[in-house]
Amino acid sequence: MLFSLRKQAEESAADLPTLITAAQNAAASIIYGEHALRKAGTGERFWQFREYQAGDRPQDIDWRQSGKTDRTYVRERERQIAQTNIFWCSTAKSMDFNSNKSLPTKLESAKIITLALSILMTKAGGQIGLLGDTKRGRASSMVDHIGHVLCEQQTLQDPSNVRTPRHTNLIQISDFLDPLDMIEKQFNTLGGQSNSGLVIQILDPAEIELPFDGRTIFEEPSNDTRENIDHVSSIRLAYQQRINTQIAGIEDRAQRQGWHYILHRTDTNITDTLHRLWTQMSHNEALR
Amino acid sequence: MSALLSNIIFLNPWILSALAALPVLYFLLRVTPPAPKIIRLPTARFLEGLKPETQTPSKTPWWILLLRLLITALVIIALAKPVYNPAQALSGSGAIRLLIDNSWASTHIWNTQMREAEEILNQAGREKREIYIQTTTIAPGDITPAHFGPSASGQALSILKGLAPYPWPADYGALVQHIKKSRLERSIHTFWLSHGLDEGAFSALATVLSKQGGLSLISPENIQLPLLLKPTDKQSRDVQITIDAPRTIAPNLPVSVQILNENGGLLDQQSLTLSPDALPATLSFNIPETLRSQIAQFRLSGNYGAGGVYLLDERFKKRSVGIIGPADGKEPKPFIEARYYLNRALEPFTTLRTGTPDDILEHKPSVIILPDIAALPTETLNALERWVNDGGLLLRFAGPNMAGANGTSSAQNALLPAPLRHSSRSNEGTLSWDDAPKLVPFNQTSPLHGITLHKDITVRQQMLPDPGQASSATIWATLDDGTPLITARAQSKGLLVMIHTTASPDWSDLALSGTYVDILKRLVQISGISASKREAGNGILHPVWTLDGFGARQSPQSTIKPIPTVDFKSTKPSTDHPPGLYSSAGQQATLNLGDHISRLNALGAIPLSVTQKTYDEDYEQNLMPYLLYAALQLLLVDWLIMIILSSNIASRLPRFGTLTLMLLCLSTSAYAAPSKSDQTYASALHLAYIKTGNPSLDALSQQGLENLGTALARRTSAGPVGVAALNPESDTLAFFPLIYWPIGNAPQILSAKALQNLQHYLDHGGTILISQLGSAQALQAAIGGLNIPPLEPMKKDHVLLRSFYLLPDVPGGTLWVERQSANNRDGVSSVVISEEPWSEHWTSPARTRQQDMHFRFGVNMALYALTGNYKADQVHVPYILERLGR
Repeated sequence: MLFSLRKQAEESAADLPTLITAAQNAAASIIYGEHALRKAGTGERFWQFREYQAGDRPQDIDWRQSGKTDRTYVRERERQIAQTNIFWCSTAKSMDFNSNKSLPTKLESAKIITLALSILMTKAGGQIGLLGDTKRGRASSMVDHIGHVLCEQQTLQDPSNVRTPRHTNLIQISDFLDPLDMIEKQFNTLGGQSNSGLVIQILDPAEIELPFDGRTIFEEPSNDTRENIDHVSSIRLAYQQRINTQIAGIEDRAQRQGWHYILHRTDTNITDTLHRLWTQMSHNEALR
Repeated sequence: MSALLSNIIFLNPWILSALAALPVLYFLLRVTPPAPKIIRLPTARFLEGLKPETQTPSKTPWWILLLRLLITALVIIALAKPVYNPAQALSGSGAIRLLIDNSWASTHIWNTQMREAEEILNQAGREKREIYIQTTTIAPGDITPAHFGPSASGQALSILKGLAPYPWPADYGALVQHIKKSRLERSIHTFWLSHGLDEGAFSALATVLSKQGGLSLISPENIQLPLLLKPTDKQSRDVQITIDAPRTIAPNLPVSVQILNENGGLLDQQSLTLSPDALPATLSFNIPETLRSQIAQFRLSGNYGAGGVYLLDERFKKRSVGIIGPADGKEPKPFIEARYYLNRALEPFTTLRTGTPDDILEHKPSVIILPDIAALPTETLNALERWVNDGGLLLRFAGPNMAGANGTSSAQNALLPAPLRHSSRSNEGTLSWDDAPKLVPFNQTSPLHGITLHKDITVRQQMLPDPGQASSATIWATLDDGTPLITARAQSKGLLVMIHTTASPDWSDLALSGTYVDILKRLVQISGISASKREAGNGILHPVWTLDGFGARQSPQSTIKPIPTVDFKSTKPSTDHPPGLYSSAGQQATLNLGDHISRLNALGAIPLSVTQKTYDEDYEQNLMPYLLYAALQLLLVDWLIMIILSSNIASRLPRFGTLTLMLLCLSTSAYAAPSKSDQTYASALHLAYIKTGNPSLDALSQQGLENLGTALARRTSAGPVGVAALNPESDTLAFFPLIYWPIGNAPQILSAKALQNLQHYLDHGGTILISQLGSAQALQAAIGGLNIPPLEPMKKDHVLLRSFYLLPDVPGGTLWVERQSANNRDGVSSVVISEEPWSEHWTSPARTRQQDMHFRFGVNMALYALTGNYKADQVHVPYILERLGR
């Protein structure tokens, strides 16, 4: 038993490099921060130039500075607040779902988004960590660590009674399909502990649109609930109303905590979602 | 309804017990909803409690259930083999015998007989009785009527399927002997499926059969009795046919007879109401003389088989007429020779032959004409006399030769109705006092009576019978001075007719009048009557085609024996000699049932012990196929309902509608009729030009050709009604004799299809006038793809320069035409290439000489295309030479 678990974990860990590559690809297109505008005195707070080291992103190189000498310089910005980003990525059974073989499962999308955000945040100098895990760090090894944990699906199942340090940025990634009051309770618990947050709801298009027809039995993977629907097309609108209420409810409760909310459909591009996320977060930083 | 139901019995009633299982089936059918799909969905929780608006029933609705139960019930009932109107139990016990009349007279009730037989066989099969089948008519190649058995009903049914009516009579007398000979241990009950005609020994046969164990006679009702076409006894000039029937036939039975030609085309049809006291009835047809020779057969409408067909052979058709003349077969000189007038008069309604007497006699014509022939070799005269004695009609004309013949040879007078005086009498000479005598209307006793006389017939010269010698000749026509013009004398079976003037207009106007034709026609008709009585010569007649039992032609079977010519008249239709057409080296004869069956006797006295009934239409009806069919239909309905219910097809119906509509449109466009324009172009002459795509050039072509059309209509008899603009790729070019094609500097490059069309047009007689407006390269580019024969500059003697106007030269530059026109083109060049912008020339009216010359060329060009090398012949050469001033 233990052996098989171990084996499973290794097998899934074998996916890690692919996963991280995917996350890196997703993150690579993002040039975060307001980069040099070649105008003195305005823009982001410059910290220092530092010589380029292996592992630095090429787009961080300050070519003007590098052009003056023979060396290559990386422009580092002033760290604003030493912020800790705590991820919670749900690996519940319901996440392992795709309505169509050509789509990634919700879990895959969640992992990629988590890792891509971790990469971006470490690059931005932030500290990252997982909820319910004491390990924190800002090195790229931390990304690997998170990847490992995610692949082995050892993340926290129920984040509602975990304590987090203050001044953290809590990033929750899940499908948030539980009843709203449960989620509200979770948000309240976590919201009391952190000062900023991001809620990423990942849904499959089929879950939003219910594109089925005829006589169908729907089976819920987590608890084997069965719903026997005779004429799916006739209840489609009612269902869509319900799921939209859920989505709106999540967004509402996230905003009540002062958190950003973003909905990711697995049939859309992850990079696009990351762009949306990043602009929202930068905007937020700029406001602060 | 109850009467209807009481007429149904079930052959397998125990299967009906399965109906009791229907309620069980009802529950089984009710609890089988269609299997749903199972889909994993994490959001299934949100579906909880949602009620579908339109309920797809998990249970099958009651009416579908009802439908399915109905289907099942139908199948069960069908398997129980219900039979409507079941056959009555057969009388008697033990073996049964079916006696089936299958002679010519049963053709028209054959199906009824077969149905009745089938019913009896089915019932016999149910009663498990042995079956014997006996036919009454001898099949081809047999000597006795076929009989089968004992057999079971299934086997007997297949034997029954192999039976057919034969086109010859049965012989009941022989059948009685045959049945008496067959020894049976047990008594056998006979069912006689009769055709209602006594063919010999009906009573004897009925007695024998009823003694052998009982007889049930099933005979047709009096409207279903057989009919027979017979030749008419009376001789008449009309075409006539006689219809005979048994005297017991129903009164006022309508019948109709068709006259058909060799290919089965209908020439005439007449109807008649038969009544038992006016039998046989005769029908007369008024058929034009010219059509009369085409008559090949009479046929009774309705399925009367060989008895309803009367075939005519050549005796009834065109009579052959021989004219003694030169052996070389030269055409007679028009308007001069007597033979010319005879040919013209006789050709339309006879088969004419000209030749030496021996040659003519060999073909045994009905009439032989000797136009002014005085002397013949003695052997020939003897042969001719023999032929006349056999029934031939010898028609002689007087003339200079006969008048000039010397001496009173008895041989000459032998073939004359009356001896003649050996000189002619001239009625119009300088020595005669009166005007030339005229023909007086024919006497009532004359066979020529009734022919309308032309007023102006005068006889200027004639030969007179010798009043000094006694003669038995009758005078058929006289002149107003009392002298005979036509005399005749019967000799043995034949007839000698003399017309005392020439067959040509030399001596009289007779040959120029319609009366001449009428007299000849009447004479030929008279000859036919006697010829039909003529005995055929020696020889063997072989069948060409024969009639089958249903009166249809078939190729002769190998069992048919040829008939010696001498015996033909006495040969009755039989298994060896079925009715049909027989021939031997040019001689054709038909064998008809009607010629040999003298009387149609109704069934005679029937022994008292015989059960008698008529064929009725209430046949046993097996309902099983109908029920199964109904079940299948309902199954299809059920299937359709399921499709509609399961796939919510109603929402897709509009799309189906458009699809169907599209398909309909497609199919209708696929059957597009020839376009309207094609019809217009085909019905009248149109000038045409090829659209170049250059609007100004096309407008010039249109205008120019319209002007040319007007000029053509005004100056010549060719009247083009319009101008057509052609797209060689899509239009049909075949309607246009001439197409004008201006090719500019930037010609359109034609597609392969257009080139193919143009090539086809040129290859099949079309002409294209190409006006080269641009460079030679441009011309090459445009027509390089066409296979055009080698061209040369037009010579001065080309037809194009004189097809209408005599033109000294073509206005403008050199004209290129085909060096050598293809054989089938009538010498017309397929392509004429000129450097002149003709359409532009033709747009301006012909005011100046130059402009007129342009139009003249256009007219010549059009007529050249229309008439070909008509003007190339030499008829007009002198005139043309004169005009050309050479």
